[in-house]
Amino acid sequence: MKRLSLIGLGIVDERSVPLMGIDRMKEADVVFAEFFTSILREGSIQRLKEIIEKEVTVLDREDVEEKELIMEALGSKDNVCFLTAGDPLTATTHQELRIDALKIGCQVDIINSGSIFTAAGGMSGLQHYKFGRTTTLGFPEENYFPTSPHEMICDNMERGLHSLVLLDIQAHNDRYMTAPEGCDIILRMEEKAGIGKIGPLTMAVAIVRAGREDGKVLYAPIGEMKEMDLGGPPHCLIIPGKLHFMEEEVLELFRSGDHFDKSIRSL
Amino acid sequence: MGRREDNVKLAQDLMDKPKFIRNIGIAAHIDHGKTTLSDNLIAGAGMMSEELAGKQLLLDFDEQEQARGITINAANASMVHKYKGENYLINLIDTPGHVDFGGDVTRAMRAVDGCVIVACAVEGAMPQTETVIRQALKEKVRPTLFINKVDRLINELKVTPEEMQRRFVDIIKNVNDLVSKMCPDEFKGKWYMSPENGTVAFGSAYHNWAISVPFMGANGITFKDIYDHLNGGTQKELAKKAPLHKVLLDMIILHLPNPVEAQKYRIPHIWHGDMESDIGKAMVTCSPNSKPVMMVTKIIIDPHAGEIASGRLFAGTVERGQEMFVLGMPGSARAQAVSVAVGPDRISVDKAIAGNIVNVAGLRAAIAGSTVSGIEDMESFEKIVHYSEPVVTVAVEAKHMKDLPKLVEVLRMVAKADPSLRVEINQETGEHLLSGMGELHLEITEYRINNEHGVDIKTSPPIVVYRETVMNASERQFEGKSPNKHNRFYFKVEPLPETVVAAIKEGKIPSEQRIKDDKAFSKLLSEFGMDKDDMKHVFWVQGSNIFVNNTKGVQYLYETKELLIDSFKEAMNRGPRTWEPCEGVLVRLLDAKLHEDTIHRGPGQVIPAGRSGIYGAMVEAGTTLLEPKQKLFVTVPNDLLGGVSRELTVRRSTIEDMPMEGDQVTVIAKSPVAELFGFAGAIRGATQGRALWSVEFAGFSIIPRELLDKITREIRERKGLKPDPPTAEYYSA
Repeated sequence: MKRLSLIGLGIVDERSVPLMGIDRMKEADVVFAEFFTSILREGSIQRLKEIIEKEVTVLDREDVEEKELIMEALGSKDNVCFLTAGDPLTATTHQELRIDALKIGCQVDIINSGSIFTAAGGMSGLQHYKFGRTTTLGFPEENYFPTSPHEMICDNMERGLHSLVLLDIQAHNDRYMTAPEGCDIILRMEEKAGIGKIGPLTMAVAIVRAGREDGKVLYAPIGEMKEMDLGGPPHCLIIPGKLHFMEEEVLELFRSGDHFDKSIRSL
Repeated sequence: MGRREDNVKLAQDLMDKPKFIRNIGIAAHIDHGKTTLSDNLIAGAGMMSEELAGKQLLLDFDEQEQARGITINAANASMVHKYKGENYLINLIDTPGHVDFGGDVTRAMRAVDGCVIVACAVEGAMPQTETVIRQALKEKVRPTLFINKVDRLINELKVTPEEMQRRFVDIIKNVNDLVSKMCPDEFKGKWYMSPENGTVAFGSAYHNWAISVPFMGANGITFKDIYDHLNGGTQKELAKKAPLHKVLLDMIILHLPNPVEAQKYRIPHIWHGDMESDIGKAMVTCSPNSKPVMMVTKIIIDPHAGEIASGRLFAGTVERGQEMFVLGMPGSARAQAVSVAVGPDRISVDKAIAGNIVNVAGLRAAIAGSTVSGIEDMESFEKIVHYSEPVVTVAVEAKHMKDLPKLVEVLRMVAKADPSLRVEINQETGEHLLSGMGELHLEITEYRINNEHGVDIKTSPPIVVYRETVMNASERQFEGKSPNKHNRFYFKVEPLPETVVAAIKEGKIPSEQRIKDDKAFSKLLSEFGMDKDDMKHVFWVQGSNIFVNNTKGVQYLYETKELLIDSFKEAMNRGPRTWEPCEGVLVRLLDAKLHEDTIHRGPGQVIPAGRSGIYGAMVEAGTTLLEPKQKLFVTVPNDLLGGVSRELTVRRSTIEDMPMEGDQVTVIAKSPVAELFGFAGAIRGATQGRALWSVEFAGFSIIPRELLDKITREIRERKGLKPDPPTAEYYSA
């Protein structure tokens, strides 16, 4: 039976790929990957190729959305792998691919891995049970500056829930939104929507380069955070809701200032 | 010519006395003698030699115009005339009658307060007479009438004095009927023209005489005298007794309003700002004591001074060196030179006050239709609406590669000087595309680029511009999916009622601008027969196509509204069948299913989803092509009618009417523009050059079924597309 394996690569580099995934790739006839939804450390894919000893074809958004190349491969090959950073079918869904493969009678296996969805909450010390709806901030574009992410954050706050805020990745433009840019956009949305629930003093948690050796967590008012330089991508934000005393205690460790550089390592 | 210099001096003095100024236009059907009339008026007023006038066609400056004997551009002149001991300054704008260039007439009407309608005594009121009257009345420009070519009635048609009078009565009645049909309510009855009240004159512009009832009374001339002069071949004497310029300029001074009088009712009509503001008051009173406000009606390209903005100064004083703002454009510019026109010359002046027609150099950002002001943030004048659309396109190329940069600049300039031209760059091929009102229009433009701007160009054979539309209403909704498959939009399409399409084209329903008030807009649409509740949320009007939101309670739809409008614009500018613009399509958005997260419904997802949804719905409803048509008026001697009919029949034309006039017959026909290429040469051949003809844009109509596939393929192949248009399935993938 033909098999499509959707493999998560985790959030760091070739070392965060589950061994189960590595085995699948070694068996595969053809390996595709996409990095427009998330990114790994530089050089990861090259080192991964060396580990599995075969070529990996990186597809752009159009190729993945049109699905033609992948479906063609499924037509002529038995074992096809499709790699995405993070956990497959989580942050960005490739469900459409899964459905199409099942429709032509393929077996579809999902190899799970670490995802920013769980990593961010855990690293910040905020409890998973208390997160509301997740939202993403996009780079404003011509005729497109939606303010519903801001609305979503306010809704969550109202109910005392934390908001995980993902930040835009435009791999084709080599453009990745940073946490300070995200803070700026939230304040601009507030200005446009004028709900009055968020201001420069609202506290936010930035999780930068989660899982990596140089990863950091920072707890600061968004008005201050928007002026900071937190280094290279990927970044994400959490706007906390009502805090439990345990949560408060952990967040205090990440206040800007003395503790900052120690943050994750020291824990 | 000492008299000319005196007049220039007089004109400069009169510029400062608005009550002694008349700004007028001359408008008529092609070849009814406008330019000859203008020239003889100017000559009579001492601006050129009287002998030359009527032969030289002073106002037809362009070589092209003189060679073809028709006026292409509206030109300006001014003259001085004495009436009852007072001197008056008459600013005259001659306008083209050839309808290929009809845009100029509309704009010229904005600059003037009164006009002389010229009707030929032989042909009477013609369709283009109706068009120019409509254009004048729309701008609240008061008309008077001159019945020209009276000599031909007697010399060629040999009519009796009684018949002559009967003809005059008929023409006057026809023109008055047209006026009363289109007249602004406040002037109904008041603008009635009759020989008795002195607003109608008769004569021969070519032979330099004219007569009006008041003039006859004052000088003891009778209709019989005129008849005798014409019969006896002594028109020269008649011209001495009843000089054209005297009779007509008297009529103009007496019956057409001065700027102070006219601006009282014209400003509220053409400017929708606050009338109580300082600038509003200044314009209504034609005050020279404010910042200048000017409406540009024409851009003149001068070989020495460059681009000159010509137009009407409605308020204030414009001085050399003054800072001016072209409204809607960034930054300001200085008026490098101010001038007024005298015959073909522009006389430099230091300043000019409200009520004059002025030329200002140095305003590079101005185009015909711009409001230019000394105030940065005032309300602009109402957009000048022009009915015709460019329907023929050629690709333009420089013969020598080195001329390419110059060609780009020259094309920009000609398009600016003639707003009925459109210049575009084909994004795929990089070609420059020049579109105009007809083959002749483009030939003249080509000639100008070669000869006046000195850039040798090659042009492709002309291509007709088509339109796409839908034949029926959708039976079911069509689903458009985003590339990531997470968003779905549901559309239906249907043909718009013709009344609505016409109203959009006439500017009664605004298009391509933000709809500020949904309720007012749906009410406006209901006036043209659409259902008010159904059209409660119109998103956008593109070309003559409407996009309405019929969804209910779709969360976050407002965030994708602008993107859906973008996809609607794209689909309407480039239809699914042949990538030609669409016309008369109503697109309904019925439902939308959006991804929860904004990042999955950005421009890259929503625009293609909207576009393929609209395309799919159109293909399912059935698309077809519309081709542009022109109305033709061909006048020939009776015995040559056969040749004309043959020439028309092979060109898929329908003959609508054939009025006879003595031994002349005028064939009125409707022909597809595509079939009219080469018509000028063919008709010349078929009639030994004795046919007189003109055209008028007659809108778009559905292409015959048997030609649809063939033309679809031709257009697609020309554009490098697969020969067959995509099916609905293609758009649902």
